Amino acid sequence: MSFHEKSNIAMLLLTGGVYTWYFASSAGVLLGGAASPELALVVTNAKMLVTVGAIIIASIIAHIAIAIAAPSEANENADERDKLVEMRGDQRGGYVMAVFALMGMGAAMIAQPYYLIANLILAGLVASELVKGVSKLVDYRRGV
Amino acid sequence: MGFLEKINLAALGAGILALAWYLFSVVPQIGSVPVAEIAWKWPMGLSLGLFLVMLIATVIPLAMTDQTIRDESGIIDDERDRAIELRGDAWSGNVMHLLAFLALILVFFDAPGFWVAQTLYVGGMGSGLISIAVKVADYRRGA
Repeated sequence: MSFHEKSNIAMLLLTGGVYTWYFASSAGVLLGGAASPELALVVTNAKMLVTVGAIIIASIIAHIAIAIAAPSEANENADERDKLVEMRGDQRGGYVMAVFALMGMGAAMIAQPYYLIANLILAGLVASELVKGVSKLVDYRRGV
Repeated sequence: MGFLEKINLAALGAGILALAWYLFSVVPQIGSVPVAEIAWKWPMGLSLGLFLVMLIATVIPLAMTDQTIRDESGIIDDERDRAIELRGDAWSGNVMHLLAFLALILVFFDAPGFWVAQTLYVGGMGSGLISIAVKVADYRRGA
């Protein structure tokens, strides 16, 4: 398994894990109306910052661990196959992001609360990253 | 010129016209009226509709007259077309991600909904146009 493939699996697990926690713990605020729109925005904004920080720190640690485990692979440049796998992932992730961006735009058009718009965009970014990660995982395993 | 290249050129033209019309309708209002009073919702919907109508109106005659579609094989795309499509869409995906992140930052800092919607719409149309421009350049330059 190449460095790029391991890196993809690490990012997929991290993104999946962190944002499962985020959306599960924010479900009450997002769906149930457990807080006022202003409070909901403050709460979800604070959590978003925590998740971004957590992802950055955890991904640095994960990549250092992957590089230590196999130092010779860490300096490998992306080959033709890696680039193709990356592009296929970007293409599929882009489609998902476009759908969520359209939903976010619609939400802004009908003057939905800010916390809903923010979380729609965040959900789009997360969903597209997950689709991209799964696409790359499948392409690496199955071959392109 | 292949059928898919013609479709991309048609989409590029329709996208530029629709986006330009939208910007001409909305941009002059910025600064002259308060942000909350800018009329942007109907021009946005109309611009999207205009893009779709222009695209369909161009693609139908192209499909009716293009000879490659009438070939016995029925194949309209080859390996090169698929590679060009992939490269263009990958570019578009990356630009879309960047602009969605920018929109998220705007919401985070409580910017008016107008700016969030503009970032998503102009960003979405812009990323689509970048995707098509990359494809057209690849067709012309060779990929």
